[in-house]
Amino acid sequence: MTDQEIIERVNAGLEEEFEIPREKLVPDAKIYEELGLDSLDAVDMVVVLEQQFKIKIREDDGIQKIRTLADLYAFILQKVATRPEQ
Amino acid sequence: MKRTCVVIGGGISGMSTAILLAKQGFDVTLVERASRLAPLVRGFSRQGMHFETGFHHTGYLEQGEILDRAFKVMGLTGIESFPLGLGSDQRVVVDGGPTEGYPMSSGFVRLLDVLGDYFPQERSPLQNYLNSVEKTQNSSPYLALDASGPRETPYRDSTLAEVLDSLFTDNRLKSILASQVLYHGVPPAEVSFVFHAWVGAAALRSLRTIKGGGKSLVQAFERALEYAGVRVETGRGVNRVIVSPAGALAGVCLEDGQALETKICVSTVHPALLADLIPEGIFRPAYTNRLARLPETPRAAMVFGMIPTNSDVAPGNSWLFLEGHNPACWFGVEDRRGPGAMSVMISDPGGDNGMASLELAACSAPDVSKYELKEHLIQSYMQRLPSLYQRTQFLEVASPSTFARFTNSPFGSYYGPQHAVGVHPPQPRTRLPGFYLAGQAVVAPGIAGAVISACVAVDVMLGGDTVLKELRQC
Repeated sequence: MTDQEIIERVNAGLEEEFEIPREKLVPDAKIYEELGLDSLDAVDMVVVLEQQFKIKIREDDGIQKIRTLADLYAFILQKVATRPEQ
Repeated sequence: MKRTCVVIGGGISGMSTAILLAKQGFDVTLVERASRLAPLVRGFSRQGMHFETGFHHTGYLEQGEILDRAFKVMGLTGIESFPLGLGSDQRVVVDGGPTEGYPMSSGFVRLLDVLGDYFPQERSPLQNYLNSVEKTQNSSPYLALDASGPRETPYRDSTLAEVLDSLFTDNRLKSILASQVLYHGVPPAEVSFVFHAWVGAAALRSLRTIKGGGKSLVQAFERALEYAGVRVETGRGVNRVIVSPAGALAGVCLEDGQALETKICVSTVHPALLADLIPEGIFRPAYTNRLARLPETPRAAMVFGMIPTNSDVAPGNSWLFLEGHNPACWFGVEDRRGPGAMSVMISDPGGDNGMASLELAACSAPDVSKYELKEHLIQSYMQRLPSLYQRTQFLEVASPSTFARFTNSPFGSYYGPQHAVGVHPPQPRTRLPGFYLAGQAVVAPGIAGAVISACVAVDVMLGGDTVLKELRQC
C-alpha cells in the first residue's frame, strides 16, 4: 500500500464511520476543533484504525499528541511501516 | 422537583443503579422486559424444586469487601451469607490428575497449603502467583476500598497464559488455575492477568454463598428497591429512546406505546441492542459498529435435575471437569460432540424432602439443539460421576437460545461481551447527554462486576466519587 492509499483509507474511515464530509478532510484540519470529534470519539477512532490497518495502538504510542489530520496520517504511516509481518 | 431517571434492564446492575440513584434523590423508574426482576440470578422452579441459573457463589462478599459494603450502602437486608466450608471445595478434575479431582479451596493461605501439598515442586511459584493476584486485586480502587499507599500491579502487560507459562511447569496445575477463566469467559491467552486477577481469580481470595441462593439475593434487592422508592415496571420492555429534534434525551417509549419522560436514562442491556433503541444519527457509525462487533463470551448450556441427598451428595458440592489441557477446548468448539469443560453443581432447593437440585453447565456452539445438548451433557456426566448419574432425575434443558430469551441477550452467552486484551469495552458516558451505560459489558461479569458497574455509572453521572466515598466510609 502506498502512502497515498493509506491516507485515502484513513479519510474513507473518517467519512463513513464518523460522518465527516469529504471536503473537510484536509491535512491542516484540526481534529477536535474543526472536525467535531471529541474525547468520546477517541476510542472509536482507535478501534476503526486498528481494524482498518491491522495494527495495535497503545495509550503511550503518542496518540494523545495528535492534533491535525496531518499528525494522524503521519502516525498511521509510521504504525503501518513498523507493524509486524502477518 | 426531583429529577427523573429511567433505568433500562432489571438485572443486578439495573437494580443496583436504580437504588443508588434513588438514594441520591432521583425519582427512578426501573423497566424490565421479563415478568419478574433478575430472571437469570433468580433461577426457576420445577416440581417444587428451585434451580439456580446465574448464581451459586461469589467473591468479594467477606465483611468489609466491596459486595458486603455495596449491599449495606444500598440497604439490602436479610442476606445471610456464609463461606464455603472445607467439605464444599469445588473439585477440579483434570487429565493426569486424581479421578476425584483437586480441591479448589478459597483463601490464599489455605489454597497454598492444599495445592502446595499436591504440587510440592511448584509451591514457590504458586506462592508468587497468589501474591501477584492479591496485589493486583488490591490495586483496584473498588476491590481494595481501604488500601492506602502505592498500588502495585505485577504483570501489568501480560496475559494470564504468559504468566502461567512463565511460573509453572506442571500442566495440571496450570489447567487448575486457568480454569477460573470460566468465571469471565475469556481464554487465558486473550485475557490480561490484571483483569483475570480481579474477576476470575476472585474465588482464590474468598468465596461465599447466600442462604436461599440467587432467589433470596433478588428478594433482598426487591425489598431495597421498594424501600428506596423506586417505581418498578416489569413485563414492559423499552422499544426506543426518544430524542428531541434538538438532539436531547427526552424519554423512552415502551413496547406497549406508553412514553416515559426523562432527561436521564441508564441502559444495562447488552450493548449490541443499543443500535435498535437509539434513533439513527445520534451515535456515530463507528460507535454502533464497535458495540455490535464486541467479541462475545461462550454460549451457555445447562441441564437441570434432582438427586436424593446422602453422604456423598450435599448442597454445596461441585465438580469441574476439564477435558485436556487446552483451554480453547473448554469453551466448546463448534465441531466437538462433548462439552470441553463441564461443571456439576449441587444446590439447596430450599425444600425439606431429602432432595437436592443438580445443575450441569457447559459452553455450547450457538446452534446446537436442546436435544443434542442434553445428550452431550448427560453422557459426559454419566461417564464422570456414574453413581450420581444413576440416582439423578433430569427435568429441564437450557440451550443458548433459551438463555437468549431468558436474559434478553442477542447471543445467550454466559457473560455478554468478552473483556479480552485489545477489546475496548463501552464507557458509562455516551454521546447522547443524559444517556449512560452500566452492566457487565462496561465493567466486568459476575455479581461484583454488575454492582461495581452501577457504582461507576452513578459516579460518572454525578461527576464525582460520591458512591465510592460512601463505600469507603461504610
